Amino acid sequence: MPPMEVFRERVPVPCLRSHDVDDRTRHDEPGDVPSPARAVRGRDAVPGGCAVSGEQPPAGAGLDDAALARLVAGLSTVSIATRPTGEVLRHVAGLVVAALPAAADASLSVAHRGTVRFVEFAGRLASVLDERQHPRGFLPSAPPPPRVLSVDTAPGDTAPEGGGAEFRSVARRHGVRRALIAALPPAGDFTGTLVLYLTGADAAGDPGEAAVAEVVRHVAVPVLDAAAYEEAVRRAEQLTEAMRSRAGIEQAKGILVAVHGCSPDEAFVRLSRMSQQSNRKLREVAEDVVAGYVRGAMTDAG
Amino acid sequence: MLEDFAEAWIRDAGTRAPELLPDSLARACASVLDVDGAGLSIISRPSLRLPIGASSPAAAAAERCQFALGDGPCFRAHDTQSVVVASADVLAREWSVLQQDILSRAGYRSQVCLPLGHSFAGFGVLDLYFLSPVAASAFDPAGALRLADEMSDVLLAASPVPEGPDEDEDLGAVSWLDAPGAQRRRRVWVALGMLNFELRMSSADALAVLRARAFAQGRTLEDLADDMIEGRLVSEQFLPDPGR
Repeated sequence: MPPMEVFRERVPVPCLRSHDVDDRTRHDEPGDVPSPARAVRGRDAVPGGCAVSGEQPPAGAGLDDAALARLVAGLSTVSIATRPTGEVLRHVAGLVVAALPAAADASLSVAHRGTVRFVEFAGRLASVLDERQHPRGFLPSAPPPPRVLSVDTAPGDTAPEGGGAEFRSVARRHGVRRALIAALPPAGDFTGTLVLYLTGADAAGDPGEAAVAEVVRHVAVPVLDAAAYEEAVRRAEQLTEAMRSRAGIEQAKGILVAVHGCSPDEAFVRLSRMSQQSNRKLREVAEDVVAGYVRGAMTDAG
Repeated sequence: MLEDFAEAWIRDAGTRAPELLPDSLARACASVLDVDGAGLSIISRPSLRLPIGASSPAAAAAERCQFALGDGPCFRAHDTQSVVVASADVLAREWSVLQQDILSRAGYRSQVCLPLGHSFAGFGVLDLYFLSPVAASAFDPAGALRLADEMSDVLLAASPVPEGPDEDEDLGAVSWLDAPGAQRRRRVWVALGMLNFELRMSSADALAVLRARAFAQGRTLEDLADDMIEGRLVSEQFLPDPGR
């Protein structure tokens, strides 16, 4: 059993690096991790895999070898450690639109433990279709990869899965004919969604399911890595903060031990009482005690 | 290597008590690497250092030696965010006092120190200890660096930090920040508060006098802290004797 899988069972692991790509692709259905060439030739459409309405293009349509190569090359230059996650998502969404000319816009979202953390669009639909501006459940749920949900916005059509009446109506008002919604293969606690917005009148050039699945497979790595990296940095900073606040509380306890001749446990009870009475956080009360008695907090000691 | 580590960790982690997580990581790490001891600490400069996990009592003792002196290869690994290889000759040249201390208290003759979380700012260190004076030089740190990354991920994922950017930490929840070694270290911080008040000393000075006494008496800061908290040692004893 690969180690990351083992870790996930015991402790959620937020930070996945690029070497985990293979691990991620295992979430795909067996046999459905096609080579780029296989996918774009369109021979590997997943039987019954696409919840569709309206006329569907061939599975591999809409993504030629050169576009895929450009996308992969573009993704390989994305630096996740030096740019904020939102910027990485926006950039990658732009690369997706460039690779799939039928898509007028694309959005990428990332959720951590089920809570949406980032939503970015390549273009201007962000102002109306950002799911965070709408009630929960606005965006129809994507099926597990490599399946893709196709949502037609024409008034007579209904999306067989995921509902999304409000989504369809907003999208339609802004010129979207069809939306293709695909989940990224999850990585640890992080999940993501790619949405392609198709606007042209002609459905003939729409990307097929295998083409979208192929794009998703490639964008998942930098997108979810960027989010995982930012989360790891946030956690490391807060961990340091947690250690410092504990140190401050212990130092304040020591001061109260000296002032009142009590035990450390009694000093903690005093601090807690002060915190309750003043309706302030324990660590803030502790900081006040330290500031009131000494030059330089423990956390400043050299 | 990572598979072996994961298996060793699962074999070891019989308990799910969160405060014992780093100890079981350290033991799993020591069991798959060719080392005689392993210790995990988190560090926030200038002077905060919490020992969170050790593979053995000797590894825990070696960490206390480094904290008591406030210097050593582990601090350098953290400050430089790089692997520090300290064979016996390096220790003799740069940290000779520490070398004697660790040898007499823990029996180790060389060590390798690696940063935790080095892909960003770094939040701690992994100390690897050897009984042989030259084993550190022969040790290939590549596998250990991968393990350090994995352990960083596990520790961060299980760290007691708020889930959302605007939430507050739950101070009441037990986490690996409450590891047994960390709880002992916290008593040092209580002792520093006592010195702060009783001797009107800055925290930097209080830590310096505590370290000086620990060095002079061959004791650890934790031992001195216990003595102070339990009344066997009073602050005035840290002052120079005016009669002399």
